[in-house]
Amino acid sequence: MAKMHTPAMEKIERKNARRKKPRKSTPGYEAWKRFKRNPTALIGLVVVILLLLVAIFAPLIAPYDYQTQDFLSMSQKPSAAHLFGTDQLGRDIFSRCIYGARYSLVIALFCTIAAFFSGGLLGIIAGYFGGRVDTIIMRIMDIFQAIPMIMMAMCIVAVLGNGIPQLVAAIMFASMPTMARNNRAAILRVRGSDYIESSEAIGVGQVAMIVKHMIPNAVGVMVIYFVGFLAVSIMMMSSMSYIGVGLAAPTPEWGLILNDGKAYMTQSPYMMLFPAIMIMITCFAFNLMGDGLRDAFDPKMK
Amino acid sequence: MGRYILKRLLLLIPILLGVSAIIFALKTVTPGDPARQILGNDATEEQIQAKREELGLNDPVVVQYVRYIAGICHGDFGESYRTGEPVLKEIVPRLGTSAKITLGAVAMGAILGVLLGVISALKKYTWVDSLVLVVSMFFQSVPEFVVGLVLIMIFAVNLHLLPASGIETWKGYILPMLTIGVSSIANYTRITRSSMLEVLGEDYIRTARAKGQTEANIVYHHAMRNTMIPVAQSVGTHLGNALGGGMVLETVFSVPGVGKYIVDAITARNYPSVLGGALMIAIILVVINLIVDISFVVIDPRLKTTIIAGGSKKPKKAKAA
Repeated sequence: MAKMHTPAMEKIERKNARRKKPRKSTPGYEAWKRFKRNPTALIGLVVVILLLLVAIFAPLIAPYDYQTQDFLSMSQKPSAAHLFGTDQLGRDIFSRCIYGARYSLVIALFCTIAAFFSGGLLGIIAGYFGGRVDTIIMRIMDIFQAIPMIMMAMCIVAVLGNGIPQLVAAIMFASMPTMARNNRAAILRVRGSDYIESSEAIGVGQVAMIVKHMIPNAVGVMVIYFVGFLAVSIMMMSSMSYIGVGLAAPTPEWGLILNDGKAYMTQSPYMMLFPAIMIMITCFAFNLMGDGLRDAFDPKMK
Repeated sequence: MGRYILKRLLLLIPILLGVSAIIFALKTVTPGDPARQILGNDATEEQIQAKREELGLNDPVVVQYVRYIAGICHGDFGESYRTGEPVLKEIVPRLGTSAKITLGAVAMGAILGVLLGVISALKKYTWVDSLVLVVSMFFQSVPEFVVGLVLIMIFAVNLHLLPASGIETWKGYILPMLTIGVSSIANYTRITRSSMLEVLGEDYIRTARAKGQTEANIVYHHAMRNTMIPVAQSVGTHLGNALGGGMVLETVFSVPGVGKYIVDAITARNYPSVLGGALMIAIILVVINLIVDISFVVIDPRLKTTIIAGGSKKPKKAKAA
């Protein structure tokens, strides 16, 4: 029987074609659905996005340059001209805080990426190969772990000197044991699966096995660690620069701005108030988002 | 049990050797000459050479390292470059100060955290529950030194109630303890909440309810004891973390503890003191972990098999901070 083509049917067909195909249910999409339902996590995400925008558009938002010293307006209280006031050298604290977002987020991102490529990679290797390789790597990590993370980072800065690349290296080294442990655990969860065994049976090479089959399945957990470590590195960076190790003077990093204001705490507390608020908001937002991600990717871990 | 303790204590040896090796390596690559540092800039070349010879700095690194380890076996941790005093003599009194603050802070955090956790569990899924969780998480995610600074601004600068730094009077201990304590509340709240919820679902709680016990009695007498098991473990981990991580906070409050000692030593490149401090902290962490594991068996004898049989299994580390 020939297919009939009435105008009404064509209309229905066109409508069907236009209708969106039902979304494929990938683990990522499922996680996003769970994440969306979590109000605190969404607040965290929104704040993080805002901070990213501030960091990207810092030169447009900041009314002054972060290191221009204006000796006519030193140590001024917050006003319309200087929203957060000025510091002892007449630098606009609002602009310094805005640029601080750029420096802190970029350095934290570098630290996290570096940590994943050092400690994280070691953990993945240890988890994948197991046996003697695992024992050797993890015993060495145990020794590193016996030194508190911040102390290790400070010792390394003492060797390398102050500066951004040095700080990234220091935080990378200091975080190696934690990173290795977390990523090893993530890989071990995948390691025992049946599909890994079958891939092994059909002769998938070791590198392809790690990169193509194991990492994509451990990626949810790794995202959680990634966001979590961004918060940790902002925390470490600001703590270290507050006590005067890590970054050098004109860098507008929040911990360093706090350090500048330390001497004037009694006369002009606003010098410390605003950078402190920036650190609080940032760390809190990253943690809210990280917590939401943990619940979203791994409801069982809750 | 005795064998287990011995085995765990023997694990200290490779860890201590490793820690001192790492810091020794850092010491050798650090720019600057300790001899010049001790003698100052006006020292002559001969004086510096003599000092280097005296400190053994002209020997190969391996020889220096072996000599250092041999010294430790005799209880000699070397002498501080800055003061010339034996490092051990400088560290021990500071350990006392740090221990006081750590213990007070952990007690404060644990008591507040457990209280909030119980409230949160009893009011689960209400706004009280969410509020407790969000507020405690706020204090956990903000770096301790920022919390400390805000407390200083409120209580020392504005209200003039407490000193901003130093520990000359007992008042000086309050702010550092409060800071460390508040930062750890979230951990305890979360553990107590989930543990309490789990325990309240047990059969024996239903029995207690069935025989007509009051709800308060059930919570505080029947459920509390079992709720505390996971809390007890995190107290141990927290003690270790607080002692090791007190470096920044002790500097913020200028508390003369081990943490500040190490920070000062690192910035002055005073390596014998850095080494001594690091080894001290490593020893304390291992011993605390051991005590935690043993006390676990004492609190809950059911765990004896899992902890002791899985000899090398370590207690889970809390979030590195």
